[in-house]
Amino acid sequence: MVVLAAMLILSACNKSGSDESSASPSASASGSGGGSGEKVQFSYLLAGKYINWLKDLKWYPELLKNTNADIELVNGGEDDDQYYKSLETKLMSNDLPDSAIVTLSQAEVYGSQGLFLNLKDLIEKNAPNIKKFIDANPDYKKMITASDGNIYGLPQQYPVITPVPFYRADFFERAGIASNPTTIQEFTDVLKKLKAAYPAADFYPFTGRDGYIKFTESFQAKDFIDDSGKVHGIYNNGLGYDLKAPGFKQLVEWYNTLFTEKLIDPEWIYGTQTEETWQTKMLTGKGAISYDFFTRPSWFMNNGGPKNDPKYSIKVMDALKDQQGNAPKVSAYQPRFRNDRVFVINAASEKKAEAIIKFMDYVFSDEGRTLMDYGVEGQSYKNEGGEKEYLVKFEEEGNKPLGTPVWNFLQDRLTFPAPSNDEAYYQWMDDLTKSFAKDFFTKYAEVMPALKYSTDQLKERSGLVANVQPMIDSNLVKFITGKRPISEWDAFLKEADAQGYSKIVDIDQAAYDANK
Amino acid sequence: MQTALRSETAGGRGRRLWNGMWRSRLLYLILIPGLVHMLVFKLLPLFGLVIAFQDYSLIKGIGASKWVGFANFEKFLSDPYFWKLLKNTALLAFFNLLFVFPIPILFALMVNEVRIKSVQRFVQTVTFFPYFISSAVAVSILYTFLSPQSGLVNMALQSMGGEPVFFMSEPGWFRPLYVALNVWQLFGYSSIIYLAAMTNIDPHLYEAADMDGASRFRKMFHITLPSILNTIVIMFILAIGQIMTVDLDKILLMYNPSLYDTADVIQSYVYRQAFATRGFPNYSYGAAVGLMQSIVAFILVLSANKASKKFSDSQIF
Repeated sequence: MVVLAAMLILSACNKSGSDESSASPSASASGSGGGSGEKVQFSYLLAGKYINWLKDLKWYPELLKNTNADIELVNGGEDDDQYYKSLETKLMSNDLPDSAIVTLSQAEVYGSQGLFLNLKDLIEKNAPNIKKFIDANPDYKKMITASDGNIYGLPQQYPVITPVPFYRADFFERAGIASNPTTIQEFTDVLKKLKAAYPAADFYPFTGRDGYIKFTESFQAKDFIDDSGKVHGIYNNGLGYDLKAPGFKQLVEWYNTLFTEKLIDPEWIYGTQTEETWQTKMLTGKGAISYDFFTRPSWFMNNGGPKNDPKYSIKVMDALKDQQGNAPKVSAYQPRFRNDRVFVINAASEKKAEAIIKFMDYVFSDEGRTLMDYGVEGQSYKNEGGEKEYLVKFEEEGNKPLGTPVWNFLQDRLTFPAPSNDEAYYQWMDDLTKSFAKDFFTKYAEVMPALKYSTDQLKERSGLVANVQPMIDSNLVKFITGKRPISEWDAFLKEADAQGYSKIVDIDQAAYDANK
Repeated sequence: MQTALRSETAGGRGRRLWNGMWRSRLLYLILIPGLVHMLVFKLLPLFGLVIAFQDYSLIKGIGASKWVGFANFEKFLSDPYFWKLLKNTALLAFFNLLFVFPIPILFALMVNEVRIKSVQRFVQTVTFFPYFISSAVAVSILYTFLSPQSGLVNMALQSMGGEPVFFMSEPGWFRPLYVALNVWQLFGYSSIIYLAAMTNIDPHLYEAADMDGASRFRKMFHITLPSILNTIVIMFILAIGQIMTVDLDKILLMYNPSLYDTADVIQSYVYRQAFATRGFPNYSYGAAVGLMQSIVAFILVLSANKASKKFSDSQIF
């Protein structure tokens, strides 16, 4: 606590200090895509892992050259978690860089209090490409327009991608599984066949990392907003669950069966599984099916799978039908516009603002998009009858060690928040990923809207989530592992409500209603 | 007249104090860095605790944030989760005190009995090592040993025909493992204080006991232990002050959803409230909970000190 108090005092002392950033050398604007005039110099705060990523990209020096920019990339914490945990204190310190990545709520709340610049007029005067994108995307416009009518930040458009269920095709073959499962029942049968074919005590057919609750779409148990605008469950863009949906109880019962019959990895359920242990299990045949990020199948194929076992083969299966036999909707990883990757300009860097927004305008321009999504013509892509085609391959470029300059175009990673080109993104993948990605996402992906909370809503919500989530998590483990009988399910729902579950859903509803 | 006398006396005392300080000026000079450190890093930050009574906003600062009185304290005390957190914290701290405190004393008593000095030094050095291992590494070692599929302990259990035990995900195992890890890391280090106290025991006492035919155990319990009793009492009072303090690093590294029932303590809750959120962390609430915890610890130290004053001669203040 003393450390916390010291941090606050130091932060207060910092604020009373002189305003250094306004005294830094000013940069006059260079035209969009222009290479003449004074150099555009500014600093940019983002997580360290994206800095490492950006520095290796071969198109990045080209981007700097084309915009005549000199950008100081400031490490705000290695990964996303570290970055966001320390972001608040960085925002309040006197040495906040000229631009930064923040959450949308931070952009609005602190923007309206004068910490970030209002970009509305700047865009109007200096950024025709950003303006064009805003006008063409009403959802984007609604999202970035604050309650006072100003624009304080520019979010990243995220490609439409979902997790995919994938399996060891060679294991399926050996277990005599001729066709892929299409329903939960068939999937359960497949797990049983696999367990029978591979009876080792440490083989669990279904394994994974992080959250183990999967197939909510097939049980119709996702968190979602229905057609009448009602929020179901603690809203997590469809990636969570609706605790009170009848299907969710069935899902928990199903998991209990999987656990009892040793068809699912217990370490995954208990929460002790790490990314490394999961990878090891999938690579060494201690697991056969996972439901994870869509590039993971090719990761396993390229990171030791066939090297350890020449028969090693990973394939992707279809999403399992819902209880009515319909094709389910699998929630996309992120809303179309990410509310946690928002580009803002420090109000103390007003003198550089015009130049910075012109740089960002280049990022939004066709020329900028081509550079960031395809690279340089003749080097990384060619034009074939008006269609762009990559000359470089992800298989060769994507797996080079850190620090090696590469052509890479993974738009899901953060560089400068920009519009996404999903076609280019899917095209850039390796052959295995390309073989299913576009088809799977077209068939199943559902992009859920992002909710925008007020400061008070956010504060209350995060406090309640801190109470409720551990209670829900620990009880779900108890139900699944049989330590709590499912007959106590209704009592559990009441306990969750007493801890604040319904209140969180109410806050989500209020946030949705306020921005309808 | 009386006033004049009093001021003269006060003046004389002041002069004497100044003269005394001037004579020992070099010693006072050495004291300055320590005092400055204490002032800057220990005392001044305490003023930051006023945020516990505010709806603190980083952008507004302490001066302009809204005052909310005891609202943050009331919120915590009326929280349905409060009693569970308190129970988990108190139990974890109690078990920690119960084992982590006496084991170094017993260990020091045993090491003190080793007559071959080189063996004594070797044992001390080896047991001292774990203190330098970070919590992250210590917990990783624990994970590796107790892994249900590849851990040494479970392999041994399975070779004897048993079923693997998910030690790191059984709520019932959390407290024993946490305490055992603390004992392993701290007993060698903590025993040094007692060993140092033992070196000050007058050897004549042991010689006299030898002449009376006292056995080793009698000497241990009738000479060594009473001679270091004052040190034990002082260390105990200090340990009481830490009773509400659990090792958050270790808990965060060890806990997972299946352990929340026993592993979620006040500190991990404060951490979730104040630091783990994306945007607008609730520093005031975190500070209020922390302050309450400190007050409880302070009262415990005062009580332990008073009890110690009553039952023995030792006290801290």
